[in-house]
Amino acid sequence: MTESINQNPDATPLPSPVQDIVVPDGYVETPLWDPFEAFLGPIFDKQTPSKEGATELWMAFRADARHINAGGVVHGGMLMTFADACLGSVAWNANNRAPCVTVSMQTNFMAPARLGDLVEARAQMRRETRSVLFVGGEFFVDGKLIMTAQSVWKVLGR
Amino acid sequence: MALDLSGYTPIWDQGFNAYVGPFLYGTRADGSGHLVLELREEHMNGGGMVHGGLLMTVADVMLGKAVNEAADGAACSTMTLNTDFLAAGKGDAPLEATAEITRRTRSMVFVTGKVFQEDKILLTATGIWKILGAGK
Repeated sequence: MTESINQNPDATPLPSPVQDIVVPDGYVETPLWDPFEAFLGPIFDKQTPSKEGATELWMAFRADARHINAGGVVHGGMLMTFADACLGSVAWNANNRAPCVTVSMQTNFMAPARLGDLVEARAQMRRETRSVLFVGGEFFVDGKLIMTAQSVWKVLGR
Repeated sequence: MALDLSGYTPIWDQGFNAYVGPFLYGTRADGSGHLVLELREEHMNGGGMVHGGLLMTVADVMLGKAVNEAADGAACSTMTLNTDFLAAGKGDAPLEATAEITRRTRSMVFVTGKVFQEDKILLTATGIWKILGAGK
């Protein structure tokens, strides 16, 4: 069994409000440290080799009744919070887990996610400078692209 | 200074909005819409500050409400949302948000807005919504 990328030896992960968590095939449950992410989770992750031989980070969540908007589809706030968690994981891990904060995020919504859907994200570091990180991600349901997100992160103290 | 929330009502108090909210919405003296969210422990990040995902959520709810009114109540969906994080939010004051429509076409609404605490802006947002059923 592979380990989640989101390890933090100095803290205990927050409990999930969801009972009887079903982990999607190939994924592990992601330990979460942010109360807002734990409140909306669980979130899952896996690492797979990319075509170029690098490691790709994938994360996922299963849409349930807590995530739905007035139109009956997954709320944009849920998708953006999930995006912030995914892109933040890339930023945090690429940077030896130094604290970093979101400076900017641009999100394009191409198709809705629905109740019961497994929303999967592939997140990648686009460019890394000493004090600024550029991270992007693509979001899929059943292999169909539903959303993209680009973000800029500031490494604190640099 | 405490906010006067008389006349404010929750926006669609079910599903995500009920779970994360309530997102209280009212009209200010100048006629503009105004959103308020009282903060709770589960809204924060591991550093004890307001989670960035929540700031984007509040922007999405406020801008979406302004768009819905501009589209005369028609259902709309977010096509794109750009957010800049100007400052971190602490848990000691409610989140507030306002929005302004910049342009409405037959099938799209352009909108801008901000999320703030008292007089401190935490996040600025611009977005484009599609009016559903309005054709291409």
